[in-house]
Amino acid sequence: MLFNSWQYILFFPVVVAAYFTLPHRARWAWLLGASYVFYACWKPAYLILIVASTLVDYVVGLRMDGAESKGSRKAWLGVSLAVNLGLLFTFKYLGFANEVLRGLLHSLGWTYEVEGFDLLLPVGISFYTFQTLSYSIDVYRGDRKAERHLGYFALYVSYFPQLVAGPIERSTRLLPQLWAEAKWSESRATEGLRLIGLGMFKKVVIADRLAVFVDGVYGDPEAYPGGAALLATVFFAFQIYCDFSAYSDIAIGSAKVLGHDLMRNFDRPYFATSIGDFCSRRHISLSTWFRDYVYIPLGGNRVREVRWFANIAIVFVVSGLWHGASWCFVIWGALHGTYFAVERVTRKLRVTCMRALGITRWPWLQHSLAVVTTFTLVLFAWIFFRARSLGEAGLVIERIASGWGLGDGGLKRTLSSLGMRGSEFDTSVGLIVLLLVVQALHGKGLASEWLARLRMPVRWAAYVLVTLVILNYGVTQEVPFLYFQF
Amino acid sequence: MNLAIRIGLLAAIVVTVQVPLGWQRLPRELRELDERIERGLDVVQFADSVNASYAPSDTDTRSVAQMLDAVLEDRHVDAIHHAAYQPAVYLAYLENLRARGVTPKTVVVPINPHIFSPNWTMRPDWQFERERFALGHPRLASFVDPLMIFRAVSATEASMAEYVDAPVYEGRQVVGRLTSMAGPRSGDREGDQTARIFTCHYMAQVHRWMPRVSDLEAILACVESMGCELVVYITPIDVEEGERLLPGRFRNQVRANAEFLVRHFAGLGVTVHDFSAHCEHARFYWPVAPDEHLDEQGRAALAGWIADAIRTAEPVGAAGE
Repeated sequence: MLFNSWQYILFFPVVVAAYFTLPHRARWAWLLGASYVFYACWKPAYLILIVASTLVDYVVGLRMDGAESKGSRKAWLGVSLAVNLGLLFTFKYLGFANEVLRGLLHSLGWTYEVEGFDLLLPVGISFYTFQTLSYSIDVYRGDRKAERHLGYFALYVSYFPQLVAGPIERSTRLLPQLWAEAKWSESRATEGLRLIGLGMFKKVVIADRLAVFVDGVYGDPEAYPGGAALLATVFFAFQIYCDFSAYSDIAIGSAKVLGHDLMRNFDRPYFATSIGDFCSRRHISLSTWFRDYVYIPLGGNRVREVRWFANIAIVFVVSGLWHGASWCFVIWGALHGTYFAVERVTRKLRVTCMRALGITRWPWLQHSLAVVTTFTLVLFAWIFFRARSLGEAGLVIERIASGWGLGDGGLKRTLSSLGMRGSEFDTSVGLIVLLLVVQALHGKGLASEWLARLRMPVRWAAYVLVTLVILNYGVTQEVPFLYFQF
Repeated sequence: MNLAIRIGLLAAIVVTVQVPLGWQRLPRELRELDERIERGLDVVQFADSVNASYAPSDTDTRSVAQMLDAVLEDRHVDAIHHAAYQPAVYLAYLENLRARGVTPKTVVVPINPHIFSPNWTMRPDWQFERERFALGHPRLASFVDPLMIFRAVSATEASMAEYVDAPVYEGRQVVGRLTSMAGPRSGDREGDQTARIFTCHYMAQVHRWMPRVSDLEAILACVESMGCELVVYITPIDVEEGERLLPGRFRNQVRANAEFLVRHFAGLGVTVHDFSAHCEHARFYWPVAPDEHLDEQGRAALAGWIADAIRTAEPVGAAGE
């Protein structure tokens, strides 16, 4: 079920109303049923995967809790890892692995006849497998006790607001909230609805509008000049941010209405002053997952420098692969890892250069340079994320490198071939500027909190305006949330 | 204030503003329809961009419909036209007129050979779902955008990504995808890109199962039930240029498609006037490649041929009797 669908507009109030009407002891069952319905709207058969993952990790958790030796706990953790990563591998990476193997064997002169695998990727599988894995690892480490109530545990795995695209919640944070008796709170509900509204705005007004230009140019990069390719890449940077952060906002808002707090997933990433900063502001629930369950167990930064480089490479490449089974995502992840490592290695040199150039005397200039440099590096990496193949990514880079002109017919010709009016393009640019201005204004907090602090007439005018803009200037063409594919 | 009251108040304000705002956001063609009906409809000419596009060198910039109106001195022509309008939209207008009990004397429907291409059939912004829904549900017309945004009304079936990857046919053979056909290619010689555009636009073999053919059949049924005269014609395309770029193939495919349409609709009792090859190359204008947009002489000639067809028009079904 899509958040931006009439089904969700009907589904959510019904779920909320019944949830707060039911006695506390029955609420978990109601939310669990609602979550399964939410997921089954996409493909009922794939509910089996969630149920299987739930049952395995539930049993594994109990066994690890009851195990007397570390070896036994480790063996049970192995079962959880094998099942969850096995599911993920089968549905997401088998085809890619097969292609890699085929290429490798062909290069060695061997014949490999196994055909490709064309399995439909279950929506949200990367999210819920990582969520259940975090639970198993936490129990293994002794950071939490195993959950004994199968119903609550199943609800933790499948909680509908964040089931298909996160935020990836930790059991230590979400499960106690699900157990606690949530009281209906008008202020929380208002806050949640504000988040849902702003999320809808970001999705249907900004992200889906930008998608028209991006899909057109990236669909046929050879046909467009460098300027169009560059614009499409900038648009994509904002499209993917608005799309994914919108999903997170709606998820967090929906959970808030139900009385639960999900973790913040974005903190104005394009205001980041370094790649490290960018990673800590974007898809925070995934970044912290990799930090806690991969990077730190590998030794983090408390190792020799060579080992640290290897750790960084592993974390970023695996993070890239998490997003999709293709070399493009591997390169995307590797690029961020490289940026991150170079950033650290050159820190002193950069400070020295800044001082020598006198830039440190103007902190705002230093800050702006850092923001622009970070954005440019991120932008380059987004080319690999958006392109359908390395060849296409190369083509886009070649186009951009060949010049930023817009060809003979200029922007008008490009827009015409994309079926886009000039006013639509102007609106797209204006919305990006608006987004950045609002983010600069509201600072570190959430936009919804900033909205709540406005005076009542201004706030209400904003509510009416945002609603009318969503209803009238949203994009009608269906553009699925981008992170559904991961 | 209670949350439910606040939500109710917000909804009331939004709905109050939405009614006039939604109406204003409907296309001009739709908003003007009531006014036209009040004046009375005589000849209704449906059209796409061929109707109103003109060359920069034209001194007479009138549309085909305006020229037709001048030629048919004793008749009044109302054009319902928009760039990329196609039979599914014409059908929606006709069903709306029928539901209101409005019966024009003559309905003129063009068949642009381009409408059968994936470029037209799948292009998301050329499906006009808003118009079609608003015409079918006039009371909900102000709410068409909100309903589409939240998927209560089906939006375009093909996304932009699916559209650019749509197959391109020459005859019944897939010869490429829109991604690889429409744009310039390194190593292109003069005319190569235009040749590919011509292939994308016109070279698919038309057959009875195409959605646009079904839409045309539904138009015939609708017009027949309304008891109007119907004029159907195939719009001129630059066959000379097409044949120069795709020698030995273009003219034959255009002719085969026109013959199919004439034969198919004759079987349903309707004469289809084939003007597809009636204009010479010099009569076409288009900034990228000459294909179907006409200069003033071309538009005047087309208006004359349509006028002749109107003068001999009969109610649907009579041609086959």
